[in-house]
Amino acid sequence: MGNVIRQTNRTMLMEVINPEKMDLVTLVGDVRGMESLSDDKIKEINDHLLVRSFDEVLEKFAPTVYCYYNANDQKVAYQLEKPEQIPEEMLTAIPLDRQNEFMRMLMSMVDTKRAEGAINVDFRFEKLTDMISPKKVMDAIKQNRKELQYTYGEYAKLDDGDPKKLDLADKLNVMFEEASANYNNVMAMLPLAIEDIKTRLLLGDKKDQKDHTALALGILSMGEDGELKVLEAPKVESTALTIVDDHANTGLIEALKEDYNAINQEGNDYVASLVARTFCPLASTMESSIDKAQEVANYNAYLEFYRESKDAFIKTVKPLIEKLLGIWCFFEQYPKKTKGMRPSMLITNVSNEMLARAGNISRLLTYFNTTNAKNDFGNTVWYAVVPNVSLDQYSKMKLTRERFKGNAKTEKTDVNSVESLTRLLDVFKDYGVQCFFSYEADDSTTFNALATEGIEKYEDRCAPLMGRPFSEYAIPCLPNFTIIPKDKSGVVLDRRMVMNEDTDTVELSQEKEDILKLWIDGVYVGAAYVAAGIVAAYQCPEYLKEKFGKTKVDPELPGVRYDIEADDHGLITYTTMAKEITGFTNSIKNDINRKNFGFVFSSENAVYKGKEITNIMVYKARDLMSDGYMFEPIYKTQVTNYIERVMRHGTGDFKEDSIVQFFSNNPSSQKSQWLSRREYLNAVLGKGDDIEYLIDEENGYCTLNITFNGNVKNLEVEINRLSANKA
Amino acid sequence: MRKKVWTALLLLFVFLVWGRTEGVYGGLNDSADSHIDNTGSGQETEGEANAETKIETKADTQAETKGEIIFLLDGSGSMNEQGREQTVADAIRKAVYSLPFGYEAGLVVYSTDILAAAAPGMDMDRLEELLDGIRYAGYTNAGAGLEQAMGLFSERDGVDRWIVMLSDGEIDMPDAQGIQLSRQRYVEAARQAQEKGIKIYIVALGSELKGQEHHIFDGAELTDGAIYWEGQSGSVGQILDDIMEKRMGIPRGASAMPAQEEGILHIPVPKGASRVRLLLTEEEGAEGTDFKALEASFEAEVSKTVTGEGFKVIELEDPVCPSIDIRTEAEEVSGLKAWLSTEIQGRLLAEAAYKIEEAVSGTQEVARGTQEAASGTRETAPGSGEEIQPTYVHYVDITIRLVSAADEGIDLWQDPVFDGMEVELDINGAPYTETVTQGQIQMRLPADGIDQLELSVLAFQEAIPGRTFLIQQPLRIPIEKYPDPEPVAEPEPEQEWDRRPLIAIFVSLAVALTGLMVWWGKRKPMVVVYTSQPPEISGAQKKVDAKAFSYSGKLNLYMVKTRDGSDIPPQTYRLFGRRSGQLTLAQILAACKVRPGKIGAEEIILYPGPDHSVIFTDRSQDCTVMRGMEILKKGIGYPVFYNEKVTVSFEDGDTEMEIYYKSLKPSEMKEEY
Repeated sequence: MGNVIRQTNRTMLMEVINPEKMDLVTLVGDVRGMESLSDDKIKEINDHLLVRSFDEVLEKFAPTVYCYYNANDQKVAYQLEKPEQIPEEMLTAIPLDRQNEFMRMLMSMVDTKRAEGAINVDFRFEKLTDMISPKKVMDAIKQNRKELQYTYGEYAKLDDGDPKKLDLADKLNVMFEEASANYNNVMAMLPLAIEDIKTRLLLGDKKDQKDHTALALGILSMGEDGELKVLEAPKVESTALTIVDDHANTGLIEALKEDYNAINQEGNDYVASLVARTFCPLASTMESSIDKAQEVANYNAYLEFYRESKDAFIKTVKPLIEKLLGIWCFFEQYPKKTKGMRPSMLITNVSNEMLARAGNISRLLTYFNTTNAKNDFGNTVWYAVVPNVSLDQYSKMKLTRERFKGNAKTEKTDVNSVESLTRLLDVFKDYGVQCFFSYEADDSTTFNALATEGIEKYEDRCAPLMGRPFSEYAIPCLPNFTIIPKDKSGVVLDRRMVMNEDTDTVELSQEKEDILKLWIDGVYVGAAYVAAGIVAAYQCPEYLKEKFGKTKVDPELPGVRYDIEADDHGLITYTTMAKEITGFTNSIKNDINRKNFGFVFSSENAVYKGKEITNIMVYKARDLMSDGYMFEPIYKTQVTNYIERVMRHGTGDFKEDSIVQFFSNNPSSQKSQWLSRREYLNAVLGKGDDIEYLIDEENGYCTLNITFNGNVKNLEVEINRLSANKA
Repeated sequence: MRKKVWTALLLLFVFLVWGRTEGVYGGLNDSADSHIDNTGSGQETEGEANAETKIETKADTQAETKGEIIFLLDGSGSMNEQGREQTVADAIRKAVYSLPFGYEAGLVVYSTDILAAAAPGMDMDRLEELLDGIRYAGYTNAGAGLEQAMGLFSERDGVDRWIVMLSDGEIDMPDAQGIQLSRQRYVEAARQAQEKGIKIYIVALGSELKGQEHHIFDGAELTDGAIYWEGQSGSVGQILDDIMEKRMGIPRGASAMPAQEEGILHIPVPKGASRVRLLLTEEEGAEGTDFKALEASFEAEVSKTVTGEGFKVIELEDPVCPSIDIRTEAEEVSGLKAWLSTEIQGRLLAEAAYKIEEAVSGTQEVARGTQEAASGTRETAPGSGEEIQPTYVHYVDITIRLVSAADEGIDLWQDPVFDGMEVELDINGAPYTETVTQGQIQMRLPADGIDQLELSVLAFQEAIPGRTFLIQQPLRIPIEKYPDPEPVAEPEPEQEWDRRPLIAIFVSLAVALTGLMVWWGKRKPMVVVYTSQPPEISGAQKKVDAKAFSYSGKLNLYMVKTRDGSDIPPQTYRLFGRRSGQLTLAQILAACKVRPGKIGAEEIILYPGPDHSVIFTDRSQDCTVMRGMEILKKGIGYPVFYNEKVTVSFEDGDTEMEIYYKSLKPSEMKEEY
């Protein structure tokens, strides 16, 4: 009876990932007169919005940034929403996936930090931030071209008609496709061009080189008196290839040029040669006729344009990247190899503000009526994630139309207002959805800020959400996670190039003002993603088994009663996020412990069974329901919801006689079954827990008194009397 | 002549039988109206006589006391530290002055013995005198203090009572026996308070109160009060504000920074106010306002001003000025806070118009009646050729206004804050909830068996903080009635006849009439709603007496679309606990402060139904109301059960709303509405 519920961790994320894709409001559609949705509709929604891994998010939502050029100001512009007024051919869609250098850099940052276990102050962020500099882009291309050249060489060696040649041709097609990503638009060509000019003009340039005489290749010989001399070699234009001097690569050059010209109808020879040089460098870069002044001007212009466009790109894409990283962190909490109740996420793909509008809330209600108010629990939503909530506790939803010009206010546009959160919480409470929310992710809500400012700020912000009927469903998560701190987010792209008129040489400027740098301005991930991720992960009995061993975990029951605060649980089921700071002071911890406020992460020095824990752990897991002294642990609400759902299913929608049976002392009754498993870590009724029921005949209600370690929580369910002939 | 007498008898009999069923039609009048409208015959037959009565009542005003608070202040030597005595005294002053009229404050100061005591109801001079006269010295005999405070409360019924205890130490007397005795007295007095439902709030000053052996905390614990710590819970002033607002729920008239121009602050005085008390203080943390330098200008019969450190109080009787103007030296003043308590004496004015309408029993008869009325013929029973005498329904249309007791020209309900507000009325012993629209309440009641209306206002649904109304009531209005129109009968030749059988019939009818009247007086009025039946009982409609059921559950309201595209937050309207009777959707929306204008919401009617249902009836011209996917037929009630949804598309063609009917759990039912 109890194991009818096989998933207790479906999570709904209230965020937009790609406005071009379907969203929950559109998919649910007009609900006039409808109580619930059809099974087909739910399947359609799942097909569009349900994901089980980060890669599925990238595949289903294809997060994209759109880029176009403005001829008036000679600048590049980026936009997350597809600009409708710009023709398709003038628009470049840049996919934000694992291949995107910015995304890749941030994900590497999290991985490296986790591997090193270094706290923020010790971690060398600049090691990774230069991943988006042209030099690193070129390094990546170098690796690709090596493989390309090798494969093409193998391909050229084989006779036509050889089946192996066809296999290699398939492989080459894929490699060309990847390479073409670098030359199918000018923007992607910029780092190539920058590095190309550098290679050609600064051959032999070394960082520690003091004199700037021009390089002339020579031959070591002995003079007439036997002294050693390096004689300048005669300059000969060469087309020999650096790596393998066979004719195979001549074919590769032609193939690349041809491919470039085929893709770019308005391409020119300069870029065609650049592509060929990048992917198939020639031995001689000491061309006899090189217009150094022109090349230096080009280099500086490219670099400046690259910086500006990268800056604009990062500013545009950062909020979306932060969301994607949040989703990535959510899924990261559950080990990839574990096969069990893998967390799933339903992304609404509509903003919180839009969903919370009165016209749309009824659609959400209809959706929940279908997933959460039926005795089929496959699609039941248990959690919701609302990140980026405004720190202004009185923040209102945006006016649809401002009829009169009001006071000008500087407001963050991309934050979720407390009003919209309140509206959604009111819905969540009716359908038993626990909502993890976190405040705006910036440098004021990090571990560092919490360690210095304390928890009071968050308590004040949460005040409007306390003492309300929905408080037990509101879980404030803090602090937010730092991927790159604001003060360490500078990226040095390169230095400007200058010409020395006297020596007719080219060098990179050593002046400070000639260093081209851009600021990412910090990248942060909302704590709600990680909190929901870890709670969703420990719902799975397989996950708990991996952490605690098989004997302590019941293989069928979910982790609804698992109390992460109890015993050493926090030291065993910790997050995958790396430590950020040395820890909170005792006074701050006392403050947190006094009221037991919020879902609080800690970055502490901890050792469990001799093993140092370098990850962030869960310190408190509480919602906003308070008995006047302290806030309630989140598991109580989930156990109550779980019991209500199992009971609804097991008693045929709360038939009075079935309820009596449900709680009887018969060994086959549900209560007896639960009690028989109380020794397990994931028992629904653990040690010290109990459950009693009381039937109120007058009002037609059954009140359950669920005792958790001596504290009683009530659950009231309306009895279905029709079956018991008492109507 | 004999025929005429028999006709009269028949008429009387019909009247009596109709009287038996009048409650049905009387209560059904709305339903019957809708039938008339739907058939298109349209015209109601209205009695030709309308009588209007305009009555004023004699003053029966009494200032009702709503609450009594006693401040129990520790006057022991330890309080005389670091200027605390001044802070505490000022906090008490401000708290007392900010109370709305109808709430009375008393004071007890104790140390080794009682130093000062004043029962609730003391005037401002007495308070000032007591607070100025405190000399902090001696021990802490909290037992004597609490005992004294308990003895000062009045014995009046229906009054909330609280004690606010301010102390910096545990019970302390010169010897152990004294401590023990004081402690016993304290616990005994706290138990008495518990029995009488008097809550004790303790404000622990300083850090000496550590909860040791002779502590005073159990006073709060026993009486379900609360303990506040100075510093941890804010300053003494903030704590007292918190206790009065959140714990006691006293509707104090706090106002933000008043409007100011060129160094003058204008604090508006509500129209019709008979007494006004204004307390000006500083916001917490703001300092430096010289209250002595604030000049107040106003016009009133009697006035009194008290200026203290950090506050100023102005009390006016019969003010004749629209605002109290405070002149400051600075052009802009910040950090000021104003508390305005107002007492308004009002009286009810009502007009009762008696109306007679011809009753109709179904659409068929109405249609036929209309045709025949047009052709100038009288109604006859189908196929019988006999005349059917018309029956009449009697109403009284009542219009109620609330005016100032001093000046009838001041209409108190004209203030925009009252528009849409629900008012609970008592009319001839029965409760009604009506809505104020454009400064007045209009309602219709069946007039049969009633010769007089006795009318009182029980409560306004939403109290206006700081305003206390004293209303002269009840208001008695006689209903001037007219006889029903005589049917036009053709003269017949007079004949000699035997009157004895007629007298016997009259006597028996009189007895029956008396019996009926007694029975009718005892039974509850009945409201009948025709409700739809499940499809398997096709065509049938069932009469349901809505008065027999009571409301339960709540409505969650979502304005899905509005005409101007504005987004109205979801609303919840609690039905449980409301008086049985008709509710319109317009009333519900008005109570939720949603005013979409005239879009037909007033024609969508709700009644309580069987099995915790609520019956929705659409009597509008052009609204479309759906229960689930089923469109409601006009004029027919449809029961809606828990978790069902009703969708309404209003007459303007744009506005749409969804209504979810939800149950309330027993614990939610206990919550205060």
